[in-house]
Amino acid sequence: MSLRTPLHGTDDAAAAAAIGQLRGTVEALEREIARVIVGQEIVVRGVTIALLAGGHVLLEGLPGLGKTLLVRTIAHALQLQYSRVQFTPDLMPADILGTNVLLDSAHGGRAFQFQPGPIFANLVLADEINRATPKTQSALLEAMQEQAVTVGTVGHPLPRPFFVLATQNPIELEGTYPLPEAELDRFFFKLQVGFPSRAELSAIIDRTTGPRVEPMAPVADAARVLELQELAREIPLASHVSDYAVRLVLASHPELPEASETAKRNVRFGASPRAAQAMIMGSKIHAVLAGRVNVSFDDVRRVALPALRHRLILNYEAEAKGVTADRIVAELLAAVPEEG
Amino acid sequence: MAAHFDRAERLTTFRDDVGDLARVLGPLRWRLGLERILVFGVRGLIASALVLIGLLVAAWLLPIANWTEFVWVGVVPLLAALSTALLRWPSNRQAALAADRRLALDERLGTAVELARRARDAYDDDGHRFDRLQVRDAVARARTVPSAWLTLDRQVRREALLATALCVLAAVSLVLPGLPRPGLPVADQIAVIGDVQPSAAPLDRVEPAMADLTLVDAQPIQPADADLAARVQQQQSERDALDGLAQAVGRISTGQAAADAIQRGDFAAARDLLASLGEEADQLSDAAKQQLSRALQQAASATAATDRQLADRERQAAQALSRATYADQRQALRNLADQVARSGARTASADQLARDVGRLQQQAATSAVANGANPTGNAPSRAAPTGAASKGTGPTDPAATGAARGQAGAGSTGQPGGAGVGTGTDPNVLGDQPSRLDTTGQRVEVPTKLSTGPGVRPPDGTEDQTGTDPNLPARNVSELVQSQQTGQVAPEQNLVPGEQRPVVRGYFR
Repeated sequence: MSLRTPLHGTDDAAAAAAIGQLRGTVEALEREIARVIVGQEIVVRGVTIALLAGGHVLLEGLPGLGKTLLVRTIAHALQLQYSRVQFTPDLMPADILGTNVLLDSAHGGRAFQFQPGPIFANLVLADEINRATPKTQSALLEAMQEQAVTVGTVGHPLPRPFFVLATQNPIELEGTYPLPEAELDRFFFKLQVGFPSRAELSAIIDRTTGPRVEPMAPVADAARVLELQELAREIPLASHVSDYAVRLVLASHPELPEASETAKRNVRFGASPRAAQAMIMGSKIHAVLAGRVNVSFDDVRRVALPALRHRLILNYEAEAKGVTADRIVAELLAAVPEEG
Repeated sequence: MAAHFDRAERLTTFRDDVGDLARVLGPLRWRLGLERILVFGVRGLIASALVLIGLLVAAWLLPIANWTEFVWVGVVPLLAALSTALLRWPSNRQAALAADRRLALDERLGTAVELARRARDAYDDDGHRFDRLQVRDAVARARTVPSAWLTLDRQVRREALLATALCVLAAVSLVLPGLPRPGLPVADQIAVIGDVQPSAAPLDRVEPAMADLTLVDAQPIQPADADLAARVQQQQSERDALDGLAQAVGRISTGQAAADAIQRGDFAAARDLLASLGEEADQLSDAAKQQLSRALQQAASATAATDRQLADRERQAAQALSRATYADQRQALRNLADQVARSGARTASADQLARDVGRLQQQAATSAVANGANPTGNAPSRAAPTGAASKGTGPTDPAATGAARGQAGAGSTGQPGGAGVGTGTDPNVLGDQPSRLDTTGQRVEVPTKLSTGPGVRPPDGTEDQTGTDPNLPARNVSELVQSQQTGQVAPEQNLVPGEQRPVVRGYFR
């Protein structure tokens, strides 16, 4: 049954079915991922929400925690075209986007022809993205926002859906280049991949050193993902809930009258409007996954941390004191009342 | 039948769902509205109780005769609070938001209300794709969640307890105006101090009288004399104020007893009698009330400068008698009675007043004698103090009360003057000036014997003049006048050589 079935006579039933399908797809996807990835439920849920919202995800964590495996597993479960780019200091933009090459035609002539790079895929894994130079990192700006690339004077649209899942290592600062703010702002969520617990680590060992598991079954395809994205955008949102997200963003700006005390003390630049968009879209999907057809304050709070933590630019004082963005977000949530 | 109902269920529209939502919100609105009325009512009750307590305390401490006319002010905060609560009756959205918060509905009702409003504003009977689903979900969830009838948080409960306590306190305060006021509130003390301090001006009025007491070359008034004069003046003014009140109350027959009590200084009895007069105010005729009112008004006008508190009570009593009700008249006269007791307690007794006046005149006389003794170093030709009293034949001033009234100075013409002074024709001076002594044919009273007092040693070293015996008690002017005996000598006798003057020779040899 298509999710876009005309809703005459039984509108509410069709809507309920659509909601059920969205929830079922997510649950099936998470179930398939759990067959491969041990633990990391919050990360998996965050990635899923970002995928359904059409956003990109920055995964930050130590090597060996399964970041790459997670991305590859999602690509297989959703039957998406997958490509991986290992970012290195000598990586050039053309290595990602593609370039025009001079080819011999069948008629004996020669002509420039665009050879697409690895970015032309539904799901792009930008592994260790902070190892590339800012010039190469910036090559992703247009692709992530416009879902198209321009080579020379010709624009090339990217396949839809288009996701960038980037990873970065937080401890290896030597030979790395911090992502520019504009690049960071284009990531829907920033998720931190934590170290597995004892039980999870034992399960990882058992699963990776024992008999191979059966290959996962696909739960959806690219078209279904696009339909689910459209469906998620129609989840009702009350104005007072939307206003709560707006006030959270405004409270992060130290120069604004709505700024919270923690923002005035620790923040140099507050969150951008993309942060509010990310919180609202993520809240909608979170609400559906929670069994509701409306967004609540709790949904906004649940997605506020991954949506805001990489969009807050801390000042020197905060960095000197070791204040983290996560702590500031937590203080923002505590400071901003739900009903303003 | 089941299929029929199923079809009917399918044919329901978004408008039907919005109707269900309104039906769910109706009781919630009432609940929230009643809660608001309760909260505002409690706060209004607190404000009303505070206002009422303040009013009653003010009526108790300050003499507000017609305080019952202002009791309605205490109800104003309560009425204002209730009116505000009614004017702010919760809307559907407010009720939905409150229900979402209290019943943990995860903003279901608030979102549903907003979706219904959007559909109504857009004339869209179906709304968006998930609108009906959301409204139905909200209605179903709201119907299944149990809710208490009234949700009173801890703050409201505390406010209710506070309101109860304040209401009890306000009820108890209703008896305050009927209770006797504290002895002398701070305000009264300040008023008394304020009444005394301006007596520096009356002191100026006293000083000329003191100057009248002096002989020529009078010495400046000493500070101790000034203090005594001021105190005498103050005591006299207070006494006059009470006398004026006594005269006013004595205008009517039923107030005669109170007037007598005031005049004889029995202020406790005066208070009781005045209070009794207030209790029986309803038995007074209108003419008597009017007469007493006018008299009290006049007394208040005369008393205002000396005893402001008493004047206020008199004025309030006069107003109450002229137009107010029996309760106000009784209260006003009771206030006046209490004030009479307080003013009387401050007022010195008649004996004390007479002693003070006597001391004042004695000091003045002593100063005058000291000046008249020997300003040039020669023996004075006028009266001089003697060490012992002698029995003279001259008339004495019988009007001791005149001295008690502060008539400092000599007696009237032809009568003997104060202690140790010669008297001339001018009653305003206690000693004759040399020119008058030189007047031939006039009779000059010369004291033949003086009582105790500061003596002046003659320049020749003789011991004719005796000083003050410190063992003897101080005596006032009237006593001195009575103890002094003066003789009369013809002025021409003063012209004979000194050794031939019997009296003078006896003094100075």
